[in-house]
Amino acid sequence: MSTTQQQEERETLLRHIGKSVTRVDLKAKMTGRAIYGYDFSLPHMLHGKIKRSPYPHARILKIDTEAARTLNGVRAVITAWDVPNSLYGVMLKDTPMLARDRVRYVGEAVAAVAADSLEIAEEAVDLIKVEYAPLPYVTNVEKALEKESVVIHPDLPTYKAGPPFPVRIDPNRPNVGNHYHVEHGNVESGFSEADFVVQNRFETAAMQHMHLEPSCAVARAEPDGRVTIWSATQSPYMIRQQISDIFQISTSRIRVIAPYEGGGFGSRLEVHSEPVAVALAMKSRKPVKVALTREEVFTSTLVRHPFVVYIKDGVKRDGTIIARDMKVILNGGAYSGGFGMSVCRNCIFGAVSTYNIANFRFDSIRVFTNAPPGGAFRGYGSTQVDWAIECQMDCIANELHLDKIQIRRRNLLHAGDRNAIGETMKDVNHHGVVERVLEKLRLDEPRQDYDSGPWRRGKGFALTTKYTTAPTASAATVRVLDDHTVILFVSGTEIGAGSDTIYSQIVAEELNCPVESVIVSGPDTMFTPFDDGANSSRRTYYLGNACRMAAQDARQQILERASRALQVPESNLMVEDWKIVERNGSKSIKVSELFLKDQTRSGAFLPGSGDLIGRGVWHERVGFLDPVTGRCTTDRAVTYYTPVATGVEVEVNEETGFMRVLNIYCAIDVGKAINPLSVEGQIEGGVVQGLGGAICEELILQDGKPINANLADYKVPLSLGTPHVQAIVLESPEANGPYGARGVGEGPITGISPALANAIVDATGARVYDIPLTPEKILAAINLKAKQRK
Amino acid sequence: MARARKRISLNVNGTDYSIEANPYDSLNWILREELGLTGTKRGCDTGGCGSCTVMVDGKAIYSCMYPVVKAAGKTVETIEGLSEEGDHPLQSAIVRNSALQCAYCGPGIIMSAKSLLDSNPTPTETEVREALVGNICRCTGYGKVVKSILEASIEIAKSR
Repeated sequence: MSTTQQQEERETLLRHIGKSVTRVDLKAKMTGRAIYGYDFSLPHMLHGKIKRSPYPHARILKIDTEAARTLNGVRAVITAWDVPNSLYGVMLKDTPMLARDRVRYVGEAVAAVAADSLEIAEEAVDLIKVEYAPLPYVTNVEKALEKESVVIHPDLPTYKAGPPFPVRIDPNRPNVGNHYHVEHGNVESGFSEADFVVQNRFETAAMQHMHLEPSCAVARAEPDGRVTIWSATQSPYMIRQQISDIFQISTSRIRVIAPYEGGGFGSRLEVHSEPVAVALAMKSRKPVKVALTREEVFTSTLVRHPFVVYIKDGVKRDGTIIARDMKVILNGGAYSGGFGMSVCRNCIFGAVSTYNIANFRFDSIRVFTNAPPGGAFRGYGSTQVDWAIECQMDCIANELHLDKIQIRRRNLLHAGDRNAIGETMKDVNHHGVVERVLEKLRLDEPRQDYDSGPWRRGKGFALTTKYTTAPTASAATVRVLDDHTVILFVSGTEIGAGSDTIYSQIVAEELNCPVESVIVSGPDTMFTPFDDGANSSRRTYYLGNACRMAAQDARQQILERASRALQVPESNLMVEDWKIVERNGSKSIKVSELFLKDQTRSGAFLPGSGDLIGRGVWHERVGFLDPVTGRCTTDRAVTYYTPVATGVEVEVNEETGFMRVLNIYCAIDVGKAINPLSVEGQIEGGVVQGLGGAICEELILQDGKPINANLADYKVPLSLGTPHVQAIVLESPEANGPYGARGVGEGPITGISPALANAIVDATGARVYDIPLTPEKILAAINLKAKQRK
Repeated sequence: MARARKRISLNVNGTDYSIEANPYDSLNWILREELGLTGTKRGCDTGGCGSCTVMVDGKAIYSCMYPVVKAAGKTVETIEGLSEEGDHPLQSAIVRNSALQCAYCGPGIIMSAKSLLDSNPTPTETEVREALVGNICRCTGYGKVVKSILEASIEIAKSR
């Protein structure tokens, strides 16, 4: 039997996997009954409000809280002197809960109030008087790199860091918090062999996650010293750890419960208002809700790191890239931004996973400035690096008059190749995604342009690869109940990706029962087992595997019990729709008969028929990158790589610089689409979020202050003008993925910006080197091109 | 501090309410905090995101920008009033197509769509997109949402 036949046969046996099962959360959400973090409240709860810095950089001379404290209805006022004097941060402990002696960006928390009503809390915050002595500030990342720059963190050398992310102090660059270096082959000799050298500088802007539900936390200090937090977080266990670190409370004393989450996109991996809510709850001895406003989300949570990318390539006449030297500078803003430090490392994976370049050097530097902190953002550094690389690939093709697809194919990494960090590449189907997008994009067809007028048509392409990070772990527990229901305990928040449905499908598949039999508990760290969180497109793979193992464990226990009850060997039994039946025999028993019965029923019980609990854990070990050479200590640094191809068709007005995006095609190899409709949804939504960053989104700082921290001035894609995205799904199985599945959340965001910039070049001959690709920049590039032609 | 609270009568989802409110309270605040109708969301307080959209006398409005005193004597429809079972054609089309993800925008989108379909039962795709232009969805890219609303319009037209 051929492999294809075998695969087809296996697939026909699958009952729920690969089917577009109705999402288990949508009905509750569409009737308004689903409770999100922002909706959550407790009786007699106080409302908290945070006093924030109006200065990008200043010394705090004095904080006068007297008027706020004495305002009727105020129950607690806190400043840095009321909370533990500790710095927090998942990678680098550099962030104070409330600023003590210095503020480092506009919007930094300085004090907080809890009051009987939000109105009183707002009034009290206004009554707090803070005396500042403004300091010189720096928001330009390349200025902040200079030795003479304003120093943002004079105490940086004393900060504690996690072992995989050591602080690398550079006396000549006092604002550099992190530096990674990769050296592969010999870049200098590579350049000496090159026929051409192509070098460029690319930039990206500060983009905001703009999750629709603003960040919010409700905290309650329990009488016995425990703390309960309700937060729509992407990672309940990460929040628990951070609260433990800040307040020096043992993790078992902290309970994090996550309601439904109105989007996160990376921002809510990090604590936002949770620590302040806990401190206010401790002080007031009442539950406190701290719900951020939209403006606070813009100014005081996180942004996608703005990057400056220098890229220099040595190219042979035939298009072989023989040497590549990249320097990537991340504007980290005022603090480590939680996972911000690892964006500086992980962006490397975006640069080494598509092309095979014999001589390669990469430096990534994360720099502190007085801008809002950069943190995790869907795409996690890959997007910014891919923006530069995929523009550069077209620049090379244009300069050498080579075919744009051909030059990409010529330099591709293949299965078995060692990449620049020493990983052995698995079979990543780049060719497949390229083919499928080209079928739609039809680059071979003659250009269909307008005969006259200012509009020009163009097509653009980009090939990218998204990694899924490691080492991480996920655990799942299933509890089978005597009414033929199974409760799945997982700490994976339903952030919107459809994960609760995916887990339900997997558990139902393994227990051979209807999907409706599965109840997903929702995260509660007191009951649900460990999970690393909703990051790095990891949950379908990690939690999917854990759910599958937990369900298999439960199935095995069901069979053992049935075997004892029926006196039939387990191997002769099968489970179907909560009934265990004998193969080629007549005996059968319902699963409900395998549980303890109360005295009003039979009172009888099967020995060993207590709770039926199945457990599953998935963990992957990988190597670490050597800080000096960037080489991985083993042949694998990530969990897997996912290839993505993006094609676009645009029209550009040469007189105004205005661009219409006509069509977007995005192909991604997901291994196995466990829920095809959800996969399509992830692709469409990821591309459109990327489209926002590509054409209009930028948090603009003026005099160090965000000037468009609202939705009238910060533009995001709207229903009008957003083109239909054609999602193309490939399924080359991932060896260890559940049913062959990989994650899909981030891949679609990685290629849209360069594809659009390349399409603008195709249409007009003009290139824009920094996103967003606004009409002003496009027009300036067109005018520059016209001048050069003269 | 004592500020003049005002007694206001309004009808929400078919039920008459008499409430005391500050003159500056938004309809959104009253719906969520006083009446416990948290199906109507709050996303920006400045009429920028559309997650707070409800219908007042049949017209879709941003409840965060709408002073509750203005709603006195009027009829307010929120997501909770659409269909408790979730079987309104707009709800079922969105569920059938997995058209929303985090769905925080969903109640607002549905109320904008209902207001459109009440006045224009057979809209074109462009008309649907125009009706949704004040409702930001950050997860989906709008394609499946627009498709669902068009499908719902056909279903509603058939049942008429």
